[in-house]
Amino acid sequence: MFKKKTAAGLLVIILLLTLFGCSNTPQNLEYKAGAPYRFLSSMTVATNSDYELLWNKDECIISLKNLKTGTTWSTIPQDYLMSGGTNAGMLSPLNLTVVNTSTLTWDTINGYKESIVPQTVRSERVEGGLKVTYYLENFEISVPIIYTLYKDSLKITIDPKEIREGEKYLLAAVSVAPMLCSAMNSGLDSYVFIPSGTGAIMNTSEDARGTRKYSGDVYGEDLSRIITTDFTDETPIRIPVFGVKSLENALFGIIEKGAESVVIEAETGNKRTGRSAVWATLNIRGYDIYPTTSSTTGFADMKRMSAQHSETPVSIGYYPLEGSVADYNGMAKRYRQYLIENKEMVETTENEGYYGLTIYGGISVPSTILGIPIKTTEAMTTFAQAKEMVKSLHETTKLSSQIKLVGFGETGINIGKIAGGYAFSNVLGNDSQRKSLSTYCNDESIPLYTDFDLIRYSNSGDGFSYTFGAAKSATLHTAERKMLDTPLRNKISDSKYRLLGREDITTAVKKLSNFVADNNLSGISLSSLGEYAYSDFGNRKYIVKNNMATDVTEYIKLLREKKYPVASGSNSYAAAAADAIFDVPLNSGCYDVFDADIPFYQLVFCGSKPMFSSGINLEGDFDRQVMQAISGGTGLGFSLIYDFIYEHMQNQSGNYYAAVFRDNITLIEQTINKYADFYKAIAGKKIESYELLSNGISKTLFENGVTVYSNLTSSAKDSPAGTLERYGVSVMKSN
Amino acid sequence: MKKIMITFCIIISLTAMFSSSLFVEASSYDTFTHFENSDGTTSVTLTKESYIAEQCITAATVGIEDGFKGLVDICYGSNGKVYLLCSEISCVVVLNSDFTLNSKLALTDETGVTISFSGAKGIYVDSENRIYICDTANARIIVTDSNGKYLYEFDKPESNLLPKGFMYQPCSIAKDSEGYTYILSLGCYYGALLYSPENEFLGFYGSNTVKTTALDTLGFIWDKITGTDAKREVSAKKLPFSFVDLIVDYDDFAITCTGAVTADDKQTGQIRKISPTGVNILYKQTPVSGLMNSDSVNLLESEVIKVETKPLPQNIVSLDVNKQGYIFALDKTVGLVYVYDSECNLISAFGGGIGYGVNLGQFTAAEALAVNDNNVLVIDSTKMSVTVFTLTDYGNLLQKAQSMYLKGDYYSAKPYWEEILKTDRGNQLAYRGLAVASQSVEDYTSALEYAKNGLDYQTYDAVWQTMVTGFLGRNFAWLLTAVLLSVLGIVLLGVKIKKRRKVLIQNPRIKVLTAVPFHPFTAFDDIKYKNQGSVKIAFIITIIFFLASVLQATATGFVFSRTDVRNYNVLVTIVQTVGIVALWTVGNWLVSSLFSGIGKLREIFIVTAYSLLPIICCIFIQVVLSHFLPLSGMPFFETLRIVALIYTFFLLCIGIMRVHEFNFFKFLGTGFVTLFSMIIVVFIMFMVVILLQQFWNFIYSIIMEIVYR
Repeated sequence: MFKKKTAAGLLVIILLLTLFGCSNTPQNLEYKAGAPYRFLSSMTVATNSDYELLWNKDECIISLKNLKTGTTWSTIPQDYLMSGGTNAGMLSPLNLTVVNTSTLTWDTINGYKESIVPQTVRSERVEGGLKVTYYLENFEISVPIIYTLYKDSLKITIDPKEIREGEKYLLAAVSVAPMLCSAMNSGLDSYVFIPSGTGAIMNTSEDARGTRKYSGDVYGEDLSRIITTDFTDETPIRIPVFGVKSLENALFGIIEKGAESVVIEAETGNKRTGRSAVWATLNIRGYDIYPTTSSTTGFADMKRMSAQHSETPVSIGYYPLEGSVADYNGMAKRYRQYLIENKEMVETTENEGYYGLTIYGGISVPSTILGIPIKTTEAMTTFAQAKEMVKSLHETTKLSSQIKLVGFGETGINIGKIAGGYAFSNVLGNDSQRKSLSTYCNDESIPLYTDFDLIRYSNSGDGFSYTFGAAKSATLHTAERKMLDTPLRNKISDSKYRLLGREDITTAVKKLSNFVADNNLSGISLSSLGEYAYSDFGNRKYIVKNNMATDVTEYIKLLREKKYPVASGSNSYAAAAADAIFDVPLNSGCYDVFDADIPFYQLVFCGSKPMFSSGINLEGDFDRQVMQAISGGTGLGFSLIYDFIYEHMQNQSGNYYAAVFRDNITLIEQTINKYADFYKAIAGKKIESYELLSNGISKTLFENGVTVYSNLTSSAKDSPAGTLERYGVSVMKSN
Repeated sequence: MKKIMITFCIIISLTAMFSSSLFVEASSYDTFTHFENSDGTTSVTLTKESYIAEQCITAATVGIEDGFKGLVDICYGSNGKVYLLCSEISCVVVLNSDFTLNSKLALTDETGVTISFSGAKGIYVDSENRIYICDTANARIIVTDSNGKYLYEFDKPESNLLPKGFMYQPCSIAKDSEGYTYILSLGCYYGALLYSPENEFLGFYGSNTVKTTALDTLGFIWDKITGTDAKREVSAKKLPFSFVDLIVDYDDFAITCTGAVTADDKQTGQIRKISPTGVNILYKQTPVSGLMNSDSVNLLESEVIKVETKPLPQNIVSLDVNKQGYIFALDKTVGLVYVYDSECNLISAFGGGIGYGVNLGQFTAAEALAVNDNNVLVIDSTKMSVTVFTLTDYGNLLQKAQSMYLKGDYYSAKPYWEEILKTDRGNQLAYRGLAVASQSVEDYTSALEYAKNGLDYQTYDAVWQTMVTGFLGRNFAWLLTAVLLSVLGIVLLGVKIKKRRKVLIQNPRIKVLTAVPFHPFTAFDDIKYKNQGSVKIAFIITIIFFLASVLQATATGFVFSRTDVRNYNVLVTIVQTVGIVALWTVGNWLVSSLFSGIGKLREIFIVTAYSLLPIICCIFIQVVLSHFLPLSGMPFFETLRIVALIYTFFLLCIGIMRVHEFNFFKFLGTGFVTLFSMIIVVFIMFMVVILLQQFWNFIYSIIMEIVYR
């Protein structure tokens, strides 16, 4: 009887598994040959008081023309067209990355060669614009793109649901209007703007470096992607924008919908084309990377694409900027305006906070009991010690701060259960000590946020299964990451963690909301949720990182509606919705192809809410980082622990070696006091403009007229405010 | 029994579950150093930045239109200028000390005609600002004045000292303060070519040595015996590896590096410092491992980089040294700059990129480096750029402190070390420096604490010895009296017990156990013939043996312990204790059965376990004493251990002889066969494990194949 029941049970499980397996079969988007190609005549497609949208039938060009100035931005640059250039790369309105389903090889297809030249295009009017479908017969793929004129912008939209594919090739990515946002390689007052980290610009000059290329995933690499090697750190793009400045004009792109699936690419100084450009490439499918053999090196990587494709439309708004606003300052203002107009920006200027403290609680350390290896959580900082630290700094500096507690859950700073097991580690103190800290902060009006990791986990618990609840990668394997060792970047075998299934984050947030209510916490920090975007290919809604921004925004809204202040990591969707931002980037990715860093992030968020850098006391170039923070109006962030547990932390302990409170207290006090006047002067004020002078001096003008000259170099430099010592600053207040 | 088995199973499961350690995600920008563990191995630990990547200089930034094409080498001149060798365009780019362009030199001969050196690989500028270009492809070294005007050249020397068919391909050159010139020729395994101050070829200098093993020696002898001319013709000869870079330090010692050798983690002697007699005098001196010649030390990582599963070789391609004597080495494979002091302690390592570096401070093809007091310059031949790393305040402090430490000026270094600890609580060198500094001012308590943190066994022992000696000196009279009284008390107690004929132990089985060390023949006879042995007691003794071994590994005093408790795995001890007892018991029973032994499995187990008493007592004594004795007590420890081992063997010998009714020689014979059978059993177990592993891999690959399809 028992055997029968077991067998029946097994059968049911197998059947269920089979049925579930079916849910991941790709949607039928079959390409139909012999499509009704149709060319509308060249015409003005749409017009408003400032702009008109033009369609050129011969070359399939879409142009946005400013009616007052006559400035035109086209999918094929006007000057290039007039010069009679024949470079297919320049003439293409889109480029595709496809995968041959037989050979599994990846190819890049030029839309001009495959669709415009053979005239396999269908154009039709839609409300406010034009819909152009590009048919690539040789590849049996068609991609419809909608160009719409808005009040002050051209919006390009691709709905992946309308893309059609045959059997030979599958579409992996689409680069949209790669030459729309481009400038001539003049080198004079022209640049490409890339939002890497805090922001960077690439000069358009043709110099000895040759062509410079950049590519970066918006909101960082997909954490659920299976990868073989990870030799370099990619500094994530935190804001979904890009732009180009071309002499007196600029074009600014905001990825308004579906930004998570977009890769921002740029190419500057290309002598062959004579132009520099930046564009968005939309990932239609995700991929994993697996090792394979190579006849030459013995090893190689092989990309394996996901069967499912994205269903979330992507929409990019292109905003022409002219005159005094045609630069990155104007772009930042436009983006801030966009966030406000779309009700995405929460402004919380009433509680500024001059500096931010990130206090780390416990650390999970290996230990033994009679030779039996166990893991225990040790206290780097207890609640009582945290209170002592906060109180000490508050009393000596007399300035308000904001506090973030990290790693106070069951396994400390190490990845364990979701949200640290929704519990505080006993070794960090009891409830009354925690409440005492909370009460002190409340009495002194110091916002206190407790951080919870709702994404990464390495153990089951609280209803989240490590085995069955984790997100899936593109090839439907459990998404799993491993830490890397420092010098050689080899994966550390027993350091793996998984990512919570995207659907389950909602449950995790609700549980967090209950936990916060039960424990009467004063504020919540969602660092990981605000810093990492990832896919879950187990659910079509969440592939290619889709809907991360909207979901996280909703989570933050949900928590804020319950009157819990929320601090977050620095991805723009989370940063805009939160009450405070921690770990604000102070530098770009410092890629070789960049020519200068600009504090674009700060230009957008400064004055809207308190924001703090990550712990600058841990940085090797402390003085320079302080200057970077000051030049962008970012609050100084400090990372602190009370005790460095030497016997446990001597090896592989991160950079907590420099975070001990007693070692830092003088430095913190001196630094805060030194720049107190500056921070008081700019409290709650937005940045009007930022300018990098030629000798490494930056000039930041705040909306209240305060001008700050910062020396970002290691030697004394002359500035309009006099000679500035190395990493020195001069604050000038207007009368 | 069942409960014990369950406990064991739980222990094993727990071991498997919790065998991970603490990891924190590393960034490729991180500066790191090597932490010397108590077992002499090193592990990577993050440290405060000694150098920070400040800027990247390209042809575009200095205003040269055609780029740094063929950028292969870099050096500092004594005038503070930076010289870049761009061989593809046959020019030398000279940068000022602030890295602005000084000049772009095209070398010219006496007639003003431009000299081409498109195959050049090395550049050097001497104290008189003469420029030396190693024109490798044209087999010459061109020497010019500071303006690039031809002076003379070093061609292939005409000398009988050169072997027949010698290929002269100069790739690196250096001069000492006496005017001697050292030239490295590409692929030359004889060492550097040495020239007198008058540029006269003197011979070869300081070649690498060939590392041989006992197997190589046996092979050599075998070849001598069996070799024929035909066989010798096709045999490969083991040659020393050639140097790839050579510099002369401020004390006029030549320092060399060997480059890529093998793609595994066994590479040693990557850097050598050569004495005037051609011997390597670079030593690694550590408080854990003592003094070792760099030839036997892996100066880089204990692991090699793996792309998928394929390991890539370490490859130190460039060296330089600063005025303080710190050696800077560049590993091209990983793009890391390693900074060592004169005793091979890694001060810091930075850079990286592993051939994919696209950020400031990382490399795709790091080719060469040059250093001065404040900067480290690294060239990248693919990016055609020079990355400038600047010494940080922390780095400056660290170099100053370590220099003082190495000179023996411990006390002066103390405030520097204290400052360093404030910024880097994990700095092992700081703890070691402070330990010695505290010792020098007789602050022994602090010295012990610092030495323990820095795993400085030598200082700890010296301080402890001083403290113990001082304590004994101060309290000798009291201690002697206490010892004498204790001995007297024990004797009196013994006499009293004997007089009253008191029987302390009533249980005959325990009585037998206590009799084993003192009357082994009688005791084992009782076990055999009177059935006075107990399996339970034997089992408990085995467990105690295991626990004692665990205690020895985890609770031995600091100076005697070389086990990192955090990495200690109880499974190994289980195998070494319980496993060996079980294996010996079963093996001996099986073997003795074949040799007419009459001992039962139960009896063999009992005598084996009872025989362990001396070694168990020895372990407990050692653990206790290790907390009091200084390292000079090591001979006593060793003697105690050897005596205990011999006594255990003696007891085992008698026990086995008695239970099987063997004579001594039969015991020896069966003993050897038992050991052999134990080896066979272990071998079979390994085979089974490997087979299971392969079977699992096979199943796994099938599953993966199905899944991927």
